[in-house]
Amino acid sequence: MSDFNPLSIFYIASEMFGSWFWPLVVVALVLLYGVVSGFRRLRRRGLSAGGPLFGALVVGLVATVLAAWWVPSSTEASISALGGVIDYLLVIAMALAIGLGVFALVFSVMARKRASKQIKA
Amino acid sequence: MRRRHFLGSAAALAALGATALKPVVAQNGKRVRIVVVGAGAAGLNMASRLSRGLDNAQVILVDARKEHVFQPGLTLVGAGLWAGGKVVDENARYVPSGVEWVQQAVAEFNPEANTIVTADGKSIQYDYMVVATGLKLDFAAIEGMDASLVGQKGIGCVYAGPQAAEATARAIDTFIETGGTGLFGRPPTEMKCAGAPLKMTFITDDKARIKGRREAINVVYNAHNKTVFSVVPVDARVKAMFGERDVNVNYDHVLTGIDADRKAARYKTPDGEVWQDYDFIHVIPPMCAPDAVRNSSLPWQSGVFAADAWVEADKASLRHPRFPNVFAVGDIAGVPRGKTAASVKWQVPVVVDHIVADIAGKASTAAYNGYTSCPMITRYGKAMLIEFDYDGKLTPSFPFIDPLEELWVSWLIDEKALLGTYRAMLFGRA
Repeated sequence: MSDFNPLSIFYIASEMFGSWFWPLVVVALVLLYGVVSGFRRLRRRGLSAGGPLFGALVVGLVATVLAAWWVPSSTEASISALGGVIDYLLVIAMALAIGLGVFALVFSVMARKRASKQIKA
Repeated sequence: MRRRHFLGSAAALAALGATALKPVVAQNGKRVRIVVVGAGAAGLNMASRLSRGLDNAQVILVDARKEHVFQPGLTLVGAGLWAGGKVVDENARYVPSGVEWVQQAVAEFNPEANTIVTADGKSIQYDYMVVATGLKLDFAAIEGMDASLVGQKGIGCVYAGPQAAEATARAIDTFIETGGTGLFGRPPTEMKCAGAPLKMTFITDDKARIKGRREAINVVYNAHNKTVFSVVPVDARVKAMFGERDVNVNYDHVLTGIDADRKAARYKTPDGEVWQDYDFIHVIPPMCAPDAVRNSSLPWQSGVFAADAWVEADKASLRHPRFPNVFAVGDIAGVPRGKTAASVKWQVPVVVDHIVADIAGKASTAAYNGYTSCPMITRYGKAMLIEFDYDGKLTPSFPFIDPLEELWVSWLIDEKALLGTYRAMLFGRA
């Protein structure tokens, strides 16, 4: 199971996610673009990113906590199956990935709303 | 659809780094004919790597099977977690373009004449041959046993295919509901996935506990010798776990017969034959080489691998000592250990390296070290990721995973990552 390299990881991920692979890549890129462009819009208009950041962090954190409960069950296991430290670290890492996605989505939306409100005003 | 998805991915990656996909070696001008017999995990992986690694070779894949079964997933089907259809795929998806697929079984091997004969009488000549036929489940070696009995009269067997694994899951559920004695064990022969007998024992035990029915069942593991696993530290660990979970172990018990109507199993023991009544039995038949291999001069002529006709092979290079242009990979290879999909992942590149070097007039030093991996399910949601080599030395791939600790991360690898890794391997990409 060792001897992983970027190529083999790409092919393994491609097979693991099947037809979801490229849509997931696109969604990740769109979310990344949303965050970057959100920051740039706010900065162009001289607005603070504090509000959208705080809101996105709260929602992202909630999503992370919920995801931490959901991740084990998505593998046909209950939360009681977690035993070693590595189990908890991995669940947290996977939940954080989901939380990060939610954070990016919420921040993108809030940043855009804030920037467009300022234009109307 | 899935093939298109994969091809799309491959094309995108090719655009990113085309050099990585170029053939490893250019041919010396002569068109070499390589026959790969068997389109299982080893054969498909081999065909993919050879077709990609050689510029000017004719790769011929020979197998009548159109369906491909992800065999490592059969225990999850037997556990009632996966539907049988999840482990079934089409071989056509994995046969690379440029590889000729002869959809016939092999009837004869004639290594002396560098030819094989297919079931329809066609003779195929080769310069190199890779034997990857897989093995035969010899149910007939157990008196009174037949594969058609799986799913009936309290008999289960996840090895017999996806439908049989589903039937086994139902038989286990019935056993837990009705209670009684469940018998588990393994054959005395070499076998594929030697962890599966233990997995099915653990799964049944845990399922009964989850359903609050553990006290209603008696779980018995009949070991074929004095161990439950051939790797010493794993053997000790599993024995301790069996003790903790009230799994009764009998040693030196080899299943020789079944009376399905009476629900009784006959075992050969050092003290003679004994019969044990059961309400459920997980039968794993003896395993041996397919008839076409057995009837040829390919098998070992003496030694521990001769009786079941495993193909003679050097355990490092997997090259046949008497027929140097013949290699054996996967279940059929007469080498210690190595009958898992994970073993195939390591065996195939070694053989490819030797064939490519031979053609280029060089010598390869690539060697297979016996790497075998077994994600041993110990409970629903937990497993031990056990990896070892020829010497029985544990060889963990991930330093953060203790091979003898029951972990969810090991279960995660088995339940979520293994199928994707396996499929990438069939494409020769993992």
